[in-house]
Amino acid sequence: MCQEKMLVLGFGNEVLTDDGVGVKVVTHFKELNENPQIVYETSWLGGLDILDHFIEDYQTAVFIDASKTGNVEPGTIEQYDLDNFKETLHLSNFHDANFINTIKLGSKLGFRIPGSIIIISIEIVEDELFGNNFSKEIEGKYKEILKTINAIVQSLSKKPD
Amino acid sequence: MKRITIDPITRLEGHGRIEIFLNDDGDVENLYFQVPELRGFEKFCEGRPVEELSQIVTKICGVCPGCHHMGAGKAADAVYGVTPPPTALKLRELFYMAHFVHSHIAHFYALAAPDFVVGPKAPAAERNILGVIGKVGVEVGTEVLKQRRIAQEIQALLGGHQTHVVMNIPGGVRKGLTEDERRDIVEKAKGFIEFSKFSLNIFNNVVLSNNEYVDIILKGPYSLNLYSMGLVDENNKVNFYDGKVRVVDQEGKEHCKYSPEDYMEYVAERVEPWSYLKFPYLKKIGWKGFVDGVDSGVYHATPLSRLNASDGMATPLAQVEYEKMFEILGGKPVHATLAMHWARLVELLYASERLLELAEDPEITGRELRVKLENKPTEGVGIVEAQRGTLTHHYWTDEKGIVTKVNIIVGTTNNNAAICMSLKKAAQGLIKKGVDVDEGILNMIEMGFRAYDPCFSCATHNLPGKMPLIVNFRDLNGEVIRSVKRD
Repeated sequence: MCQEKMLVLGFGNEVLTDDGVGVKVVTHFKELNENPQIVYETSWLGGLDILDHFIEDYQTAVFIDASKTGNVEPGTIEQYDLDNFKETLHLSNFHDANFINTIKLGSKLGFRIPGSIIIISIEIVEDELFGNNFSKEIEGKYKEILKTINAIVQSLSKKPD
Repeated sequence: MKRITIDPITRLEGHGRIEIFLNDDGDVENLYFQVPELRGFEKFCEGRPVEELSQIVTKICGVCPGCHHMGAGKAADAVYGVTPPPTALKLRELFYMAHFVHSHIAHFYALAAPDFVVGPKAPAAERNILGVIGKVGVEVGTEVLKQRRIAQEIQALLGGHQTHVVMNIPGGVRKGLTEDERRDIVEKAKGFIEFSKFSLNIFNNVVLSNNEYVDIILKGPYSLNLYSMGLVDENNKVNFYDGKVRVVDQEGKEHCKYSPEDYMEYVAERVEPWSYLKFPYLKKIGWKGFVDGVDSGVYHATPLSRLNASDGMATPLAQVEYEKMFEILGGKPVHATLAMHWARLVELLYASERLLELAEDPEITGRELRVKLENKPTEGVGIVEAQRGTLTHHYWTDEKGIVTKVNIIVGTTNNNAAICMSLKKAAQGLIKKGVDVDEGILNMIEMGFRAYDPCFSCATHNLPGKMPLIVNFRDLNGEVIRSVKRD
């Protein structure tokens, strides 16, 4: 097995109840600093701002963001790639470009777009109320969320030789 | 009566929607624009020291955090009754010009240009920044992202972080500028000026030289006869950071000019049962409903209204473009909503020139960065122009500077009534009996909305990266008889 350089980018507003769960998850991983091959960053916005991260070489980029569909249980974690992409709360920016066009634009303009792009969504409950704490549903499942996403990230970072 | 729903189709729920009601003749009878509101920000601020607010308010919205930071910084100065030293004021304005350059570049190339460079009725898959670059060339795209990034770097340098800005403290700023940093910003500002001129040339060559596009701007269903609001300096020139709020009427005559602390005498907020977002209006004219004209207190606070409300631009090249715009559009004030895109480019040039002026000012590297706070804190108002309209922060504190109450009127909220009216007018002009409401028509309705570049991250809630739409045509029984959908 070999390890490739990976970017893990968490999105959201950490003072908007569950909205910033992606930021909080990634901040937690960053503090643990278990794997030097993984670079952890956080951001509020997707869209064109994403390209600022692709001036360095990463083989894989993992985007962790909240989603609020109402179709699955709060705390449900889903994984997508560009072929089965589904919109989450912050990957696109209403004021400039959506996620898919941003990636296409980056490729066209010579940014170092990683060969593998993975999106991890976390189903949330509340993203319209300011507050430092999660909703009780997300709070109750937060440890499980951390464990599940960490397992996904670590497995993605290990590619067969 | 038939009902059309324009609704985002995404994995997200609880976002904006547009409801269009048709009468029996197939004409648009009414339109409602609804967005759910973020809650609890005022409560979130209460009980905190007022000096914390300039950092906390950047977390209302990731799109214009610098605007909230400046509004909050000015409000905190006012709470303590202090004026920062000249160097601090100039550093704040320097940061703020970079914020405008960054935002206006993104808006023009990503949101405005697709409608004109690619075409208002072009397929949706092409009507985006990729389509624009396909038309104007990859090297232009590279330059757009480069200039935008440079503006962000200046914000990060001065503000401590490009989004979570920590620059302002009551009575001044945290850090100064070195001579090396100043020289670097001078060169970057020169690049912004050239890029602004280049962008105005694109507008000239692509939009103004195309009679169809000029007709859409001037004769399309996009004009509203509203009052115009904007911050002006002592010479009534456009100013984004400081000055008095000036409002002119539909003929360009001054209706009022007030200092920030007096805003409540001039602006009131209307609540409608169908909307989460309030509707500000001019208090002395009064609320007369969603109508334009001199007797209606509805106003707009936009790039175009700022130019309407001023007597000119405070920098030379922007002044030339200001005069050209009003001459071509038939004189001041201009009421064509889509002219906002042109006004935004004039502002881009102004921000670039002003950035250079400030970077070349010897005082900008001064070391006196703050004044002592010796007055008892009470209450203060800070007003700046955000990219999307006049932004007001109003704080009340106890004698220890602990926040007891907060009121914020954000740029987009000012324009809530105007946005509703623009959408309705566009829909009335474009949806008629027998007209095939296709993707092109939907986009042209949306153009009336997009010109304002409304920001619901702080006014209400954020929307996804584009506005996916569905229009349902319903018969009198509410049954869907046809759907037009854009993913």
